[in-house]
Amino acid sequence: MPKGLVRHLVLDTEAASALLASASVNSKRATVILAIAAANGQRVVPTAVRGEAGWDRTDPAAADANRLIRTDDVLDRVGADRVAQLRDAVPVASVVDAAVAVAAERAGGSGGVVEILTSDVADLRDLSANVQARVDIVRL
Amino acid sequence: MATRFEELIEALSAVDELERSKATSVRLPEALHRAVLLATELGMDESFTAATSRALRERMGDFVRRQALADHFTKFPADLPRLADVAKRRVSGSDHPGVAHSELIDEAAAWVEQRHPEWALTGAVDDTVDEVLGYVEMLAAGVGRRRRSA
Repeated sequence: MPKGLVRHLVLDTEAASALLASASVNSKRATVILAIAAANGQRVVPTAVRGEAGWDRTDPAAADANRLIRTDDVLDRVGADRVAQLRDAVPVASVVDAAVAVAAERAGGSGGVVEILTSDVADLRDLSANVQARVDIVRL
Repeated sequence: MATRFEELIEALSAVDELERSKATSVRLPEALHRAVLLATELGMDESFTAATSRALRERMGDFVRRQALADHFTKFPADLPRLADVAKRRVSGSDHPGVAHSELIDEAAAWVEQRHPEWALTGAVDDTVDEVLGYVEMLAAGVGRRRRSA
């Protein structure tokens, strides 16, 4: 377990896409790396996000991203129910955004602050108001 | 061909997915063996095996994180963040005194960075950030500051 203050991280689609970038300089990827370096707790990417971002863990081009974010938050039966509940509360939110909020709830369930790194601050803020976790939404 | 590091990541991922176990034999210091048994009795973990597996998994997870960050910064030096920025992000959204006094984070990070200039390239991010935040807590509490005379 990390010492002291615990910070978890959940990536949304744009953050996941930025992490896959291979250019030598990419300011969005640098922002994602800063978030990864700061997160000493769980660092997860929801499987729905991976699908949308085109992150195939078997693709050799994803090797660096695989090393930095090893954990998938799987959209299982329980997660799908929670996504449906959150979309009922925030109808404009997409399934992927709701999956990000569910991942944040799971990561932060045992304490700490969960950072959601996203380009969709408004919807994630509305969704986060309905989850049982301390969420810090950071704009990418 | 997968490198040893990729093999390690794959093996560590499989730990989370598979329940299979393999008997192995390790020699532990006698006092450590007794300490683990006592801690297990007191509820630290459900069994000696669970305690050992969890400790090893956490240690390897830390190692993989350090190595992955160090490799990334070597490959993409433009992504190297400022220590102060990492520490500020660590406390964002929390009750840590560094949230209200970001200047203390700048001050402590500058000092720590002088002592550990290779903090990112060695992957020692968490230890270094913890050190910065520890100093910030002390500074915020007034430790080491001259008191004004009444």
